[in-house]
Amino acid sequence: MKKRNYAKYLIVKEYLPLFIVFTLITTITFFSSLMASDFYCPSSDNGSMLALTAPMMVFAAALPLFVYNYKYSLKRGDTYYQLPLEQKELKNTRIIAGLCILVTSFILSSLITSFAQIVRYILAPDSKIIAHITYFKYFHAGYLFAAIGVSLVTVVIEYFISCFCCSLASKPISALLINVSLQLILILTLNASMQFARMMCEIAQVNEHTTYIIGDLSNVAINYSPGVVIGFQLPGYIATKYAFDVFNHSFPFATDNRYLAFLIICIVLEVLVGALACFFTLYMKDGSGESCNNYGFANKKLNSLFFLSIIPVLMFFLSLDQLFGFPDVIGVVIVAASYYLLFALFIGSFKMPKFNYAIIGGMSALFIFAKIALSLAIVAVRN
Amino acid sequence: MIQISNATKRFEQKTAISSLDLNIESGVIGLVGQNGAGKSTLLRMIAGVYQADEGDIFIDTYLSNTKQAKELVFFLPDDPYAPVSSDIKAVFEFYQIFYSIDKAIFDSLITKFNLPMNVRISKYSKGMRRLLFIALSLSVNCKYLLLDEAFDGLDPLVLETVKEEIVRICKDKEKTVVVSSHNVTALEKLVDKFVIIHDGKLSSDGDLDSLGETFIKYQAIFDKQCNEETLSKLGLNILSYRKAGSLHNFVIDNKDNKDIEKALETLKPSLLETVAIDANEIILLQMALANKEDKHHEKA
Repeated sequence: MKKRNYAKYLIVKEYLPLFIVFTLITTITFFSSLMASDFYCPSSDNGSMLALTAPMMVFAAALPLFVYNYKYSLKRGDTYYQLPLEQKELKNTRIIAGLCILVTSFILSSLITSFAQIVRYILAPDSKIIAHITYFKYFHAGYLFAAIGVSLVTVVIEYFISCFCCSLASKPISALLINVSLQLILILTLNASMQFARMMCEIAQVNEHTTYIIGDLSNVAINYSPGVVIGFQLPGYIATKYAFDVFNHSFPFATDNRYLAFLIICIVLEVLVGALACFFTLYMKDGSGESCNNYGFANKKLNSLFFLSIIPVLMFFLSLDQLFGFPDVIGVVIVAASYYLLFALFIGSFKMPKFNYAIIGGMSALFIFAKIALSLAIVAVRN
Repeated sequence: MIQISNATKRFEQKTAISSLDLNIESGVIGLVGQNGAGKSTLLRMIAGVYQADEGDIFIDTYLSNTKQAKELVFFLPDDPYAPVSSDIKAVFEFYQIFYSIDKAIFDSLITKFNLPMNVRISKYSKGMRRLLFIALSLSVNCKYLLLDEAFDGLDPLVLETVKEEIVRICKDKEKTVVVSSHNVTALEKLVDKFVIIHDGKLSSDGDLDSLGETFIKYQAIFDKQCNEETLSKLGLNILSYRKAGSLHNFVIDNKDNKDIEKALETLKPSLLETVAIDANEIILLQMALANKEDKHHEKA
């Protein structure tokens, strides 16, 4: 009873302002994107699904910061950890209530916008002419709902990944850092493998077609929206290549085989990561009020692990993105600034011990050295 | 009964509570100690906000971090949380989800404390916020009430009303109240028993009479030159010493039941009389005694 009443309270009171703001933003973004599109040429309307998904992905990533806000301040911690609920009950009620408003917000904004588009179609002066050739293809329920469904799954997965990351932290800034780090590692792992494959093709001088495929996959799936979390990639990719490209293809998910393998890998990876995040989020112990408002992880042992493993990995991947191509000053500055930001976020202060500056300087120097060495190696292999 | 046995709580390098044993039975208990002594940590451990690293805390028969134990306890922290942009009604609705609250008591206290109903709590002064949460905690139907520095920011007139209400409601509802404060005066005429915490350990506990039983306060004028060291050399355990002109004020802990006056005769006093010690002073002296014993142990 307490759980149900609390869930009701969360939905109707605590999360309501977030629900209203994000539903409005999503509806307006999606609506304006659809309205601005060429009504007679649906295949040019590739960005529409991304306009629905992008604000929702931000919502899904940001909402867990509110779900776990009782862990982020001593004041809230004192209140929430003394409540007569099992800690798991308290946590899971907040997670499920959050999921409810996320899904409702998504469905509501999709329905409002789709309804507006139908009204727009009905009011169009030559609707009867385009009815059979464009509109029904464009608004074929299968395509639309498949795209919305895939986007919804991705948004939910993103929510659980973010929940998992936020549950590990005890301060919003740490939650943000852990969240961004994990998602960056996921996307940069794919990015690096693509870059590596492309380089291997270049070195091996394989035929143009293979190079093109790998390069194209990288461009479409990874560089579609560079630097954006993995969750953004998939719906954008599906939306652009399948769901709305119905003008040229008969069925959205069985058109271009070149992309299908990568699409499946993406879906499997994303669902797997999401399922794991969901499992750990719901079954993990919640700790107690003592870690509230501390920097880094709630579990102090993970702090050193994060510092010793994930930060160097992030540094490596951040460097990798800038590593290819001729050494330039801007690349070095970007890498050094990224290192500095990582350290600052982890420590929770932009002022840091001299030792950290030495690490940042050393890592930047190593990056310059690696970049020069790699460029020389590529030139040597090509010649 | 709240039963604390061998409870220890560490925060990284610092031990906030160290092997503490304490039984809290009934009535109003005053938890006192210096800043950083571990009062708030102990209350949080009882409320289940913190978990003991070692030892156990039982609320009746339940471990303090269980749901059943939490149903018996209401903890009012030093800086209580109120939902954003909430008013009295919203706070009541929030806590009502988790606790059974006596609305009649809550409404009567809100009226008594003159708290405006339709004003956001963020607009309240510190004292008004305190009063609201005191009203809430007194209306919650929990057997144990833990109040952490609850009287901070209250003016003396309101403080008296609050104390009267705590005594009245807790007597009616048979509640056990643990109220922590570093202001001992605020606890006067409220608590039945004091628990003094020093450096995370239980220093002493009991009512004022038993706590001040061995303390004797003198004021004296001596013909001979005299200072704290001279008095100590007589084998007296001096807890506090002050000199104003030729008048010496000092408190002796006479645990060993020595003939103090015979010892002081050697300093040829022209005036020697005992003075009453107030509650505040007894607690301060107990803290001073704990400090002194600590230093003694360190030296040893």
